Amino acid sequence: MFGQPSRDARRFARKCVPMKRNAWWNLLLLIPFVATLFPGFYNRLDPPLLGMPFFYWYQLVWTIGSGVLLAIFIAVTRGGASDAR
Amino acid sequence: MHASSIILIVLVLAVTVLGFAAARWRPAGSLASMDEWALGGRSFGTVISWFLIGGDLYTAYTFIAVPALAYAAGPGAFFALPYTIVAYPFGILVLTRFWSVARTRGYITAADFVRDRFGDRWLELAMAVTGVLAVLPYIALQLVGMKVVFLQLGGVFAADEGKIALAISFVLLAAYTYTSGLRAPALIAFIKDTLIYLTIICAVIAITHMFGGWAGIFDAAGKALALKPKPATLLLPPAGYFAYGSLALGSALALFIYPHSITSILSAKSRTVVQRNMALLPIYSLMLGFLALLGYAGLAAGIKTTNPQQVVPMLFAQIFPDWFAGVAYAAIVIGALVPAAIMAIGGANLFASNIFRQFSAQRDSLETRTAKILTLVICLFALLFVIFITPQYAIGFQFLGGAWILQTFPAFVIGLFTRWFNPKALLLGWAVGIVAGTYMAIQTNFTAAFPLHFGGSTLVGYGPFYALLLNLIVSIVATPLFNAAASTRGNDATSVADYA
Repeated sequence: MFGQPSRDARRFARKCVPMKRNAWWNLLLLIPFVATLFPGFYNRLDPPLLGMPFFYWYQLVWTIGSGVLLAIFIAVTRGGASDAR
Repeated sequence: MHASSIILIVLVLAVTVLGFAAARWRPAGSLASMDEWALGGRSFGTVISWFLIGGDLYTAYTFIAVPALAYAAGPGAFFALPYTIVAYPFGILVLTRFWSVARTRGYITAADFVRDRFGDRWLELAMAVTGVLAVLPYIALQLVGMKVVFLQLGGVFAADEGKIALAISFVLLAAYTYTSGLRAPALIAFIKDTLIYLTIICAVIAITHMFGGWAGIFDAAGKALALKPKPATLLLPPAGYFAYGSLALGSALALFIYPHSITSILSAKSRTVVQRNMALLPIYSLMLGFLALLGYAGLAAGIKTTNPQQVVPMLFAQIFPDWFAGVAYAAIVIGALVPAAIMAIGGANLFASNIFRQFSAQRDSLETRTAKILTLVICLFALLFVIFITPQYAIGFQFLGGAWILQTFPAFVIGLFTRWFNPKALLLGWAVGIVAGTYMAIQTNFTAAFPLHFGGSTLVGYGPFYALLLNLIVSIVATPLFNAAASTRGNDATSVADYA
């Protein structure tokens, strides 16, 4: 406050840093939170997989699932100045 | 002497040699410079960083404690999965920004950044002291993890309750960390994680073979859980949903602001390396999930112990031939040494850079010397802590440490994105969060579930998470007040371009 944002804004304009291409891709990062932080959605025994109740295999699958989502996120947001280094 | 004991000794000695040899591994500059000693020259690529960060975050204590919780209390232990799933999408946004600004401005700690960003010495001190206090009991817990293995091995290892073996291991650890800095754990992490993955894969094959698939394990574990003094099932009680979710989220938000996480992230050579690791590290989470299931295998195998922490080593002794059990024990012991070394370095960096002096980008060799000596002091302190104080206190303190480190979230993490907050307001919020977090921890006897009463209802959740919310509210409300009280506030030394 007290003039801070506007000074930042001016500095921002002066340095002319390119924004990430599409901020909507950030929503990809929200998916793992929604999928795993509300156990009420997956606190079930059925359907089992290889004898493992749903509660367990669902969370195990999400470890790899979130890694894949992050890989997609990195691929689609590449190309901005942020990746130059 | 058993084959397992011989294998453990051989592997630990090999790792010690490697630790000292690491000083000559990929040297780029003098080890007298802080960047070289504390951050491995900021030169690690994707593969080295993956082993180093993975070896740092998934500690030996985790390997002991998570299955122990599954064995003792059932499905609640699996909060470790959402915890280590959501940490990475959060990390990719925060850590890439932090890595960039740290590289440009020469930071080695989170407190360096906060000092530069808000220009407030007191806030820098608060950050640094919190980091040191949070990391000390965490190192002590690694010793607790090692002790569990030594007790299982018996013989000379268990002499004087394992204290002699612990002391020897930690003196070696302190010596090579002093000599080689972060290069030592980086090199050892290769061995550690190869052994860990090998152990878990073999354990999963062995137990599924023993019980004829997962169905048999879950069936037997479910029956055993029902017979516990506090009966549980294979599913969470609905009243536990919020505690499960908030514990996972609160832990995930805290994970990357611990000093040892900062240290291993900043050693990456590029922003891309940090990004790639956020996508690759979840492989460790999958492994952790299977490890938690070993707690159920322990139930299914009918292991009876009053100390659930012994479950994993007892299970290994039961399912593996003696020599391979030695490999598995070595995996846990070495798995404790890697994070302990990084934690000692991270804590020492905070002392040297932000407590003894204030952050300045012009670091001299005196700062490195201070940090090196402090590494020895921190290791010694953790050792004495475990030798003279019961493990239960170490666990309680570690819980407190988690509550405290989370209170640095607004200044550090939100600070990476905005400077809206007044530094004095952040300091006030931090203080309120620390007091509230400590109070709730004592009220719940250092367990995660705190019953928050509001209106007529009760919401059981992760206490430190509530403390963080309180901290944020105080910081937000106090910011306009402090801004009005004083017209000037510290300068921001960073610029927008530094974060890209």
